[in-house]
Amino acid sequence: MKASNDFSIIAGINRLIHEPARMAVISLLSVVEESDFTFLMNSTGLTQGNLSSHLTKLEEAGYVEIEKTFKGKRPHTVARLTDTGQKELNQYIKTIKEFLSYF
Amino acid sequence: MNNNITGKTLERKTYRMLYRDGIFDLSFGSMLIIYSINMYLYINNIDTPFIMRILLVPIVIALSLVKIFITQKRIGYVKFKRSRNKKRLISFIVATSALMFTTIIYILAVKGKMDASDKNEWLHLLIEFIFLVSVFFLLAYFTEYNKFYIIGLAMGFGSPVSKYLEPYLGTRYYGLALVFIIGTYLLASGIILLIIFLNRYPETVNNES
Repeated sequence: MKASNDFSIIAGINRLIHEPARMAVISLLSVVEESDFTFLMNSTGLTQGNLSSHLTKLEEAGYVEIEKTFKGKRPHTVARLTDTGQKELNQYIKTIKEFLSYF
Repeated sequence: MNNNITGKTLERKTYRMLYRDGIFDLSFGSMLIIYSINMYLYINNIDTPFIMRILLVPIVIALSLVKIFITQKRIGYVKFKRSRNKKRLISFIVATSALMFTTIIYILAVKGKMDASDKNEWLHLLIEFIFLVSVFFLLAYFTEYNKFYIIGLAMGFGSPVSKYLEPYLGTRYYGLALVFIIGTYLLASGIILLIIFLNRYPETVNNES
């Protein structure tokens, strides 16, 4: 039953990372040490509301660590990828590569 | 289409975002223009006005202030990993050494301490070409600033071109015209990039939550 095993690879993929907007955020955070909200917004092209909601989901899953401070009167949000987030991303890439190798 | 986006490629692309505001083009362009004008005056034994000698300092300060207070606020803050800082340090060392070495070579050549008119002239030009191209290619690699590849080639060809132009110009300018042209090109592209950047990334009301 090799075929069903092959399909089960993609069925078991991490759906939290698989969503395109979150994929963009998590990928960017994986190549830098940390980034603020504005840079993430400019790099990914997401709107403030969208980015905020995706960051919250990633934070709740423990993939991203959020630090909220104030710069003068303005809020300043800095995000960084946690070890769990990095591990999950590595696993996600491995799974996708494995699945795509069938094509 | 190259779909092979690895973490390394993504990091490089992210790093290149920092050049989008054109400040680096403006700084490097100003440096080349001021350098070429100063060297031109020096070659022709014309007294360099004091303001010309120190002009780069206020320009770099002004551009740094623009970067800190205008463009960085719009593009946002990002801290790269340690490997990037290492690359930055290597770039700084390469650039400083190259600038010092090139200045010494230029002054020696202008003062006639280096005989460039003997039979080894082409060898000198070849060494100069290899040196300039290598330095700028190294800088391009470490800084991710792709224009350094073009600048390196243009600079490398500067001296052979000036050798050919010497009979027509009467004086050997050691590729200074090319340095000036490249500087002007960078200055112009920096202004255009800055305008595009300011339009593309307006200062937004921050509703981070």
